[in-house]
Amino acid sequence: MASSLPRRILKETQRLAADPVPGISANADESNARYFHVMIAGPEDSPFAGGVFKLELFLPEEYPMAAPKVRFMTKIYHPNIDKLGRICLDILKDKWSPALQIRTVLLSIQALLSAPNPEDPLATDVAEQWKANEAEAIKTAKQWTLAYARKSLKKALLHQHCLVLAPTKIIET
Amino acid sequence: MEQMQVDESVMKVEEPGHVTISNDSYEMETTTGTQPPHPGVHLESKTRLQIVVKKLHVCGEWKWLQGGEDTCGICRMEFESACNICKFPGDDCPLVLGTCRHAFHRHCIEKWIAAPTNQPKAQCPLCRQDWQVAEP
Repeated sequence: MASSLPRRILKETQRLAADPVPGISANADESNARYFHVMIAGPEDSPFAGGVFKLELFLPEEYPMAAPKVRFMTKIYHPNIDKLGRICLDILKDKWSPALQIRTVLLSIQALLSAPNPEDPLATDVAEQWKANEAEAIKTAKQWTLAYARKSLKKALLHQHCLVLAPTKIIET
Repeated sequence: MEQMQVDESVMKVEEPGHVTISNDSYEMETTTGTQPPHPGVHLESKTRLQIVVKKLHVCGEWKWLQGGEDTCGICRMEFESACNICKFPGDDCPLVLGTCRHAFHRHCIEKWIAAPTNQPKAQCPLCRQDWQVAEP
């Protein structure tokens, strides 16, 4: 088993709890301090608004010299996220820097939801649809949000995760 | 340790017979007139005051010259704290300054340069310029 947890990870975990990013919650697993249960609220300006997406984040032994491993657990219709929830984001691959942290990675993923990039696709079929008929693709993304991401929302509320959401939006959607 | 800084406390004589000192950790005794001096260090005075310092508490503070007020961008500890590898800060793990003027703990930046994904050339974690140590 790995040696004791680096102070940097402890500090990050504490700050995520004490000073959470709006629309994002990240809680370390009780039995594994390197495994985080993450919830990201769909940005208001995106087809994912009203949904809450569950992700898992794992800090490998090499962290922060290697990027965290992040995956969507909730099904999502997005050109840069594939069926298995894998995310196409440069900072998670070759553009990783140890100056980045859990907080900035999750902010980047939240921004990716606001700005899908079909030119650099991971889910090629979704990207094709996004390029051929954007209005239709956005419609599908909204339907998927309603179908798959609302369940997580109820669960999130039930478990009182510290998500910062506008309450009116929850009732509306 | 590259820079030593000792706090100086200012001593003000407001009027003969009254001495105010800005640091509580001084223990002083003032006498006026012709009383015999106590053992201790006598301070010169142009008034009738005789000042004897019996005890002095000095605090030192050290800082890396290159670091400023920042924290290490890799381990997120203050430059004057130990990096994630060290138990204690000090000359075993000084700051290393890059030509881009970004500084890191030596152990932190060495580990980043050695990472398999950074071969043959690592970039500065903060600005992504090719990492090169600045000449001292």
